[in-house]
Amino acid sequence: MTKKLVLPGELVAVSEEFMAGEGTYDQDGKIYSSYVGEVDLDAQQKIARVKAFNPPIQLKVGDVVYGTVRDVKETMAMITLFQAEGTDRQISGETEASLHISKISSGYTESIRNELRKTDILRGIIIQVKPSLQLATDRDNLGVLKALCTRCRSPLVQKGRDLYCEICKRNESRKAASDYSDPSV
Amino acid sequence: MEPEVRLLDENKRRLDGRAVDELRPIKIEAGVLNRADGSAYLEWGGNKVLAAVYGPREAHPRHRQDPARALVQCRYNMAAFSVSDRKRPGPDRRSVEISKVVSEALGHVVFKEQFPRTSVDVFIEVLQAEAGTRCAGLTAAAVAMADAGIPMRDLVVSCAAGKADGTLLLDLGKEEDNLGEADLPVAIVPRTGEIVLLQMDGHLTPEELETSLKSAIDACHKIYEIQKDALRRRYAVTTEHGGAPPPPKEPETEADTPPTTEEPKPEEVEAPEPVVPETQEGE
Repeated sequence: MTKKLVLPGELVAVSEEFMAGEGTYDQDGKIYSSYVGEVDLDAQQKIARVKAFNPPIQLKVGDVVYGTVRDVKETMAMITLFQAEGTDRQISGETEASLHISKISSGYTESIRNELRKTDILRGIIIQVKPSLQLATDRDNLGVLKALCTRCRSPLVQKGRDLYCEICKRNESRKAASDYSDPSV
Repeated sequence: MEPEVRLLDENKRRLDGRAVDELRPIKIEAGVLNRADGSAYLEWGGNKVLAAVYGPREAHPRHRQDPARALVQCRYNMAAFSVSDRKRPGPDRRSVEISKVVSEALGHVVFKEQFPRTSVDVFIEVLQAEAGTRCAGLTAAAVAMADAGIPMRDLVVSCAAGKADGTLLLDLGKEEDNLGEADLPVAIVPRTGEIVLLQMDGHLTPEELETSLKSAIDACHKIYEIQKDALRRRYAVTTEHGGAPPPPKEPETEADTPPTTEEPKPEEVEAPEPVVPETQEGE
């Protein structure tokens, strides 16, 4: 495999030899780079790719993301995503995702309001990108990372399986992530 | 119009000692800002320009979003202290026009259809102006866009030609621009030779236009090499380690690197070694 730095518009390969893969484009029988990146000529599949050094963040299935609950409906919650894990760069494209009631936790969910509330900050995983973004939180490390008391808006602390408001002295239930108290973001 | 100042001496040397077809010294540095997705700093004679690129990100206001492609939105702004008389801050007729033509020139090379509903926001801040800021801004913005990892067909390069004292000149300086007869900024996509910006201020005969255009395009190809060199220097460190390079925008590593100036003050940014136009590398 060749490792060579290329710039946008630089010749990478010719169409007779390779197909234009990620980060490249084909024009008049020649394959040019569309990024500043490293050339990856896949001799087996005959695909020329350019791996960008600083690519825009395009969400794909399996990406772990962070978002805020914007709205809670009967069967789903709308989440506004603000960050993808492992990058400082903001998300390119759609940031409104939905989380279906069946994908909130691995068990049965009676009502979404027992698991999520508006303004909660959560960690989820992308399970669908097109036609619309869909999230899931049905794993231990996924779920709510920060929640506020629905009565007094003070931060909730983890107490047993539930979250607890130290001011109102009452429990609230959430699908909390396993690291709720000490999120490793 | 007979200029009171002689812009050319008897040997056809210009006020700053340049030959008629000589560019002012240019240096470009890519990746100078930590918060932006991509950035570039450019010095072109007395011009000092900072360009920053964000995105592709969700376009706002939302009614301007295009469901089929990204917008390329540009804001060209001159700092209040960029000219000798204080420039009144904020957009004016001139900067709105430049923003428009520059965003159209840049939009021509971006693969906009890869990022529907988003916008690529380009900010060009002129810190110091000395004729030809739109060319300088566009040239810097193209480097910043490549640094931001925006998929592009090619870079965009820009240079001006013109006429002063009855002579065709390349890359007009301040006095030549103010007192001269014509100014012709040109921007091209170097690989294909497409012209993506062409404006003219003043009067040129068709023959003069053709000659000026040709010399501006030739100069663009020289500047293209400086642009490419800036990008190579930016990422050379990354490739030396081999394997999958770490994302270049790690805040810790950026903060540790002394040459990266967050707010380049004129005297600080003068420090990097001047960029000599590289010899043509085989494409």
